[in-house]
Order: sequence, then structure tokens, then C-alpha cells
Amino acid sequence: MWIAASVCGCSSFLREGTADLAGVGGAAVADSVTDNAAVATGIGLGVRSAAMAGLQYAQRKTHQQQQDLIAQIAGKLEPGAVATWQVSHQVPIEDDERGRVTVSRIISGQNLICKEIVFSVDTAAEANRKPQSDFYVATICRDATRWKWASAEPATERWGALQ
Amino acid sequence: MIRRRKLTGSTTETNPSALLIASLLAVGLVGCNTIGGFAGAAAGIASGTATTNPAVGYGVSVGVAVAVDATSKYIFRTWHQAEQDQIAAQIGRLKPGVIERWKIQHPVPYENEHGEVEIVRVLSSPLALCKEALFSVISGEGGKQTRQWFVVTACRQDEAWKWAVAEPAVARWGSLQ
Repeated sequence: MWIAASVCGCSSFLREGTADLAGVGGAAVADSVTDNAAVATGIGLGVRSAAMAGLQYAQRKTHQQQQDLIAQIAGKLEPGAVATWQVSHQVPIEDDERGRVTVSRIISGQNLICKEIVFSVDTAAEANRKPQSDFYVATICRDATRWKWASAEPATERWGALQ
Repeated sequence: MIRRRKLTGSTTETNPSALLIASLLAVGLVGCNTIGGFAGAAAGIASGTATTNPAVGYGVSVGVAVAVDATSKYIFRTWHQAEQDQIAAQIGRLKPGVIERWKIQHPVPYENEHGEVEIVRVLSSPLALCKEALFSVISGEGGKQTRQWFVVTACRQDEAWKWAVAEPAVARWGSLQ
């Protein structure tokens, strides 16, 4: 399951794979303690939740790392200047990514400076695929000395199947 | 996708699929995102009762949960992507100040939505051509009609205009994951 997940990068399988391993392990241990299947399955589900929380933590760390890096690079840029970014994740749950970033606008409030950035995620050309650039827009703000990602979550009405 | 396994131990007569169907009907009232978990738990308890081996029951439950969860999430994601792509394509065509109507109709009459879209700004950047737009989602009819507005940014990629809103800051993910 882990191997399959790392090849296809499908978070659903990665998610259930982690939970699967932990859950079955937990249920097998519980089996030796109780003969009641429903009770044992309940224990399995508990272990599964803990494993899921662990994976979600890893995904958060990975995204935090990427957001912080792009924010640091864009924080130094003047509007119109372009820089490149590249991230190698310590935990290999997501592919290493690279791209370019530019500042499209300065947004400043009282004692607050923010920038609107346009960044790309570039995919190199492969045998049967041409190179591709996906573009995204985000906002970063300077928090004391560091630049941090400042895009807020979507309105709950627009969450759809996000949860 | 229920994994068939050789039953061991007790042969108590339980029909896992009947319980599964009952649970699927029940979750219709609760919300779609929980379908996978409920279906999985029902299948797990049912097969666990049949085998008395919780590990087998668990394996079945995870199999069902993965299949149902992945399918429902895939469908909702595809629908949302269709809606985003359509609004983004209209943003690509529109000039600032012009209001246009948008409407999406899915093969299944669920999450069909409509509203208006208007360009408020063209982002100048050396990387890509992007536009910031306001769009409304209109619900209800007649006197009970409501219109909620949202802001979105779309950028031109190779050949098409695509939704370009990046993910929220991790600190604001909350229960989104």
C-alpha cells in the first residue's frame, strides 16, 4: 500500500494505507484480548484515527515548509521581479516541487505590509508529456521579521468536498 | 469493493450487504463526506460478526471505506472542477466592468448552481496573465432568493483559463483536511 501510494501520489490511498496498517495491527492485538469482534474493531478504529492524525500532521508540515519557502523568496522581491523556488521535502509524502514566483501588487495597511504573489508550479518535460506550468495567486504578509502565507481559508459555503 | 475472504470460526448468518445498504441509506441524511467511513464501519462490524476475526472484519471495512470514500470524493471534486473551469473560462473571455451570467448543470441534478461573474482587476505580472473577479451564487427563487458574492483569481495556463486560488495558510486549515 505504501509503495503504491508513493508511485501514484494519491492522498486517498496514502491516507487509507496508513490507517489500514495501523488499524489491522491494532485489531489483531485486540483479538488476543477479547473475542468480541465489534469491541476489537472499535479498538482498530481508534488506532486508525491516531495514524490518520499522524499523516495529516506530516502533510501540514510539508505544506508549511513549501509556503514558508515561497513566502521568504517572494518577500525579498520587488513588484515585477521574478525568482525561482524549489523545495525538497524531508518526509517523502509529496513530490519535490519547483517553480517561479513574482509579486503582482503591494497591499499595505496601517503598520502592515503584504504582497499579492503569482507563483507557478513547473513540471519538466517527460517522454510523452510536454512541460507544464500551473499558476496560482496567494497573499503573503510580513509578520515581525518573517514573511508568512496570508491566504485565508475558503468561505465555508465553498468547502464542498474539501473536508 | 468487498474483499471476499475465507470465513473462519463461527458461521453466524449475517448479511453484510444488507447492513451496508441500510447504513448507506441512513447516511443520506447525515452528509456525503462521511459515506466512506459509515459504509466501512458497517461492513467491518458485519464481516467481523460473521468471522469473529476482527482483523478480517477490519480489512473488509477498510476496503469498503477506501472504495466508497474515494468514489464520492472523486465525484464531488469533478463537479467542483467543472464549475471552476466554466467560471474561469468566462473570466478569460470577459472584459473589466462587464457582468455575465454563469450556470452549471451536472448530469445528476445535484449541486447545479448559477450566478453572475464580473472582472474587477487584471493582474499585471511577468509570469502569467491573471484576472481577479467577483462571482455570485444565487440560491432559491422569488422572494426567498439569496445572492452571495465571492472573490476569485483565475490565470491563463497553456490553452485554458484555470482557477488560481492557492491553498490557505496552514495555520488556517483548521478542520479542512
